[in-house]
Amino acid sequence: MVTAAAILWVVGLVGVPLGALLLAVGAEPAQVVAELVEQGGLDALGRSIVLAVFAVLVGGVTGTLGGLVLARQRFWGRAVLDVAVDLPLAVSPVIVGLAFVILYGRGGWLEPVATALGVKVLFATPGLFLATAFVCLPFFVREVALVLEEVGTSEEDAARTLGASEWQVFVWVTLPQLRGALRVGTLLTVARALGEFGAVLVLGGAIEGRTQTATTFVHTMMEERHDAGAFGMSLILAAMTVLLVQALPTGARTKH
Amino acid sequence: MGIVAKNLHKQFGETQVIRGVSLSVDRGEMVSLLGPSGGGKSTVLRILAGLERADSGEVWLDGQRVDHLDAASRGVGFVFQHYALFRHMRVVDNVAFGLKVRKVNPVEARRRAEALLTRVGLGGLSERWPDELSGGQRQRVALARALAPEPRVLLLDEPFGALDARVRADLREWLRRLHDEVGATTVLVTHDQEEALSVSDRVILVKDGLIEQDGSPSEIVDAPRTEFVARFVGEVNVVEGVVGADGLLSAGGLSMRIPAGSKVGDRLRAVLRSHELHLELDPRGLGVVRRVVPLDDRARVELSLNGASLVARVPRAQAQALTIGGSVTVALHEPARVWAIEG
Repeated sequence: MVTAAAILWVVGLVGVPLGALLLAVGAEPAQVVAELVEQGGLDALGRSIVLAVFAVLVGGVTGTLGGLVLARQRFWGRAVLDVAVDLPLAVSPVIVGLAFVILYGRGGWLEPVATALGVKVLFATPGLFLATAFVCLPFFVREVALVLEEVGTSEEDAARTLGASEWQVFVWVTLPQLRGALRVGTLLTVARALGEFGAVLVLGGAIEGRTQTATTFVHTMMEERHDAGAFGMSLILAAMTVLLVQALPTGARTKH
Repeated sequence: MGIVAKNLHKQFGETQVIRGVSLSVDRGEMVSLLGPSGGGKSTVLRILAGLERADSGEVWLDGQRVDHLDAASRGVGFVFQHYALFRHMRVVDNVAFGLKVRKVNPVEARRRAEALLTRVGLGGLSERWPDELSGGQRQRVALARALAPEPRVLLLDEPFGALDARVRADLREWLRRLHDEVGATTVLVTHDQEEALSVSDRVILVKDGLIEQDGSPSEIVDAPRTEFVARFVGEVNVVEGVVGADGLLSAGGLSMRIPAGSKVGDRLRAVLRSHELHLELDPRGLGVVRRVVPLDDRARVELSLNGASLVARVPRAQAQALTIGGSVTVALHEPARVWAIEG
């Protein structure tokens, strides 16, 4: 009974809308392809993929280091850092975007820095990178810290007593322990980066050919009455997400 | 001298875990650090290995002062309670790890790892993953891994603590034989007195960050220096009483000789080992049998005497004559050790 209700609930909430999307695209496939191509959909999708790859690279490195620090170091302010890492999940991305606009906008604290470096942040590619890096911050850190706390330090200690340098310990013992965490972190980060809307819209401005991403493209298409393009991109994003979730290890899928 | 530690101190936060521990282990000797959990014995071992740093004190290995060296440079083999095998490596790669970091060529490293695995009785398992092995097998892999780089000293931290009683007993005999073959200077941390007494040349009792007694197994058993040691290494009864006019201590309905220096009227506490109590069937006896637990060739008898509970170990044949609720007289078999109450 409960199982049946649960299945019905999920199907109604997820399956039906996805089915509707599929039907909408199936009704006019030629129109969908045409609008995706002519309205700059492929460019926007490409930009989103680049952003996702960037988020994985940055998140993978900083997240591994951050996770190591959170799980292994005890220092003053650790509790604050621990909470701060989760903020991107708790705070609406629109607000985050706005905060960055204030920082880098006219008269903002960091505007002189950006100007001195010759970088235009707002309504430009750097803004997109910032927004994406921010919203994806928690995933790698959390996964890595969780696994490190779970496995403890005894394997690393064993490697040390066997003569391994700290670098060898990291490469031969710690990193292999993190394989699963990095995989899950990658998938979650890609999903989030592809799906991010609010922050990239506020910081990037959805300028066609420059800061348009897959999600802002959907929004623009809806506004401009190019429904077919919107349906097409939505279906592509949905399909990518489904594939990503399928790639998650079972344990991680139940954990999140 | 294989290992020398001088006046080690270590504090974690507000807690003083090690409060002045000094010890030495001869080359080739096998010594146990025995004591209750939380007494600091594992911390001493980790300080010897370089996994923890002492706040003060010195550590010497084979005549070299090593406190400034990190664990990787000390040349110690360490075995952890929960094996700490590298989960993502096959058994043979686990054992070869210490050789790999020393840049031994892979063919040679593998050959030596295989040889060690054969030596610890796991010849056919080199291609297995650690999680395909039983606990006892894993710990033997861990031991082979620790021995592979031919360490100066071997440090074992509760190595059998996570294993079944049966496996424990087998492994500790095996460990002692292996020690005699390999001859490595070995320190074993354990909270199991039977384990400590049965495998080591010497036992060091550690309690509350201090050494309570350091001696051969028979010294520890026959001449415990404190009440704590006596309680820890054996089954004992602690009774309190007053020294009478006859110069004997009467406690719990028993009379016993007292240590020199005590006077009439002194309140003393006596520690009596269970096998020192002698029971005799006697309808008018003051002791009442409460419970008889058969062990191997002896039985453990719980009884009450003048309101106090006592434990005695008697031969099985004698125990068979006892009935629950029956009366016995209780006598001291041998002169007991008596300690004065502190304060």
